[in-house]
Order: sequence, then C-alpha cells, then structure tokens
Amino acid sequence: MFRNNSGGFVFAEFAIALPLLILLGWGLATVSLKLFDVGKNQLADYVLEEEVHDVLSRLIYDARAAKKVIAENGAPTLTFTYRMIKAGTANSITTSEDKRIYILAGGLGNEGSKINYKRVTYYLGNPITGNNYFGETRVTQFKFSQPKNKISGEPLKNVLHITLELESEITHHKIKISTAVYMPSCEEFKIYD
Amino acid sequence: MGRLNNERGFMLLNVIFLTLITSFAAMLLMNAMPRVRNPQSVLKLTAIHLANEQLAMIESKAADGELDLNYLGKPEDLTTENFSQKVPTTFNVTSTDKPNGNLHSVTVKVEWTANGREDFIELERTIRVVPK
Repeated sequence: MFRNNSGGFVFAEFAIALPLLILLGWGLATVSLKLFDVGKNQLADYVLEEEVHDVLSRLIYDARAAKKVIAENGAPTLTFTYRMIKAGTANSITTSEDKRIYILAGGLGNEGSKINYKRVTYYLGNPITGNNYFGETRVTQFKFSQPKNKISGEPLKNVLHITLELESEITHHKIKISTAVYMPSCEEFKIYD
Repeated sequence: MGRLNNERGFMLLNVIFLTLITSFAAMLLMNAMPRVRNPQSVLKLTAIHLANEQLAMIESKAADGELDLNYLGKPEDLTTENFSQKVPTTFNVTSTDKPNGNLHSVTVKVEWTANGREDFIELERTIRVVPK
C-alpha cells in the first residue's frame, strides 16, 4: 500500500483530482462561451427584426396620406409628396409641397447599405437602418410594385406593395417582409423599374 | 478514521469550491433560459404585415364598389423562410366581414404552424364600400 507518513495528499490523489478539475473547468468555459455567443446573436437578430419593422411601419404611415407617390426600383427610392397649406400674402393662403423620401444608400446587398430618410431633395441623409451598436445590417432587397387584380389583370388602384429584406452582418440571418398599403387620397402614382 | 484529522482544511476548502462552482453553473443556466430562440415572434410580425397587405387590397377594391373577401395578396407572400432554417412556413389567410350599411368591419385572420405549434393573429379594419 501507499506509504503515508506525511499526511495530506499523495500523488495518486492529485492524479485523480487534477483531470477532474480540468474537465469541470473546461466544461464550464465551453458552456459560458456558447452562452455569450447565443446572447450576441440574439441581440443582433433583435436589431434586425426591429429595423425591418420600423422601416415598414414608417413607410405605411407616410404612404397613407400621400398625394403623390413616385417609386423607383433601379436605385430604390420612394418619394411621397404632401400638400401643405401656408400663409400667403395679405388675407390669403397658398399651398406648398412637402416631401418625404426613402432612399437606399450604398447599393443593394453591399456592406453597410442602409435606408436614408430625407425631407428635402438635397443631401441630408438620416439613416434609419444600420449603425446599431448591437448588430450592423445590410439591405438586400427593397422593392416596390403595384399588385394586379387576379381576375381582370388590371393593376389595383392606389395600392403600393413593398418588399424589404435585411441581412444581419453578425449572424447572416435574413428577414424578408412584404406588405401593402392603400393610399386613398393619392392623385399621382408611378413606379419606374 | 483518525487520519481525516489532517484533511479538515481541504474539506472546508472543498465546500467553498463546490459552492462557487455550483452557483456559477446555476448563473449560466438561468441566463440561458430566456435565450432559447422563439421563432414565433418573427412569424407574428410577418403575419401582421401580410394581414395588412390583404386589408389594403380589400380597401382598394372596396373603393371601386366591390367587397372581395378572397385572398388578394401576392401568392409568394403566403410562404416565408424567416428564421425557419430553410423550412418554409405557410400562412393561411381568411377574411370575414360584419356589414353595417356601407361600412364593413373586415377581420383578417392569419394562421400558421411552426415547430408543431399553431398560432394566429387577427386584424380588424373598418372599410367603406363606395357605391358604384
């Protein structure tokens, strides 16, 4: 048997305890790394979901009241024009036009492509996607169309169909959501390809 | 048993170590619990926008004097691959209406099944059918 004249641990006890300790530590380290990874991915997915929803709900809200809608698929741009009333000369009022523009900056599918929101035609970009601390996104699809009546094949009057797809740079997940909005007071509606 | 006298210090240390390790593991597991991915939220968002699409189509047709409760949206919008690991989810859209003169309260119900769980959303909008 072992000669135990000094008390405490002997070599055999270390030989058993040390691998167990290493195994335990390794297991805990793996699990915690996996957890941090899952947490990071979840934050990035949350940002992705939130940005798609935000852009679409803004678009629908703006489209609803527009007088003039011009959509362009080549370099995705969506222009809404509203008629505003402003004070004219003495005892009169005149109307003026106010614009809201959604424009894709950076090109479809490119790194860092984002959707800008502008109130005027000259450059004053206000990005409404991307640049998020928890997850950068890129725009992979931003498409407008006018749906057709299934029976007669005629385009449905004043309906704008929007498809938006965003990809997360971190998880490389994609979210694609389509929706449509009816614009009751729209007088001019054009889609260019 | 007298020999254990020498190891009392190690036994106390073991109690402390085991407590620390157990609490660390418990902390990790409790963090993991709410992080189990739930795809239903993304599908719900997609379904809400699909129901809005259907309502927009119904509104456009109603402005021309006809209330059509069939599915009027694009056929490709009925399937989605959002967070479903390449397994498409199919939506089922049904519309019902409660007429009150020219005003119809139209309810659009979107149903789907994901991971063996059924779910649905219902959206309602008041739509005026313009007489021809």
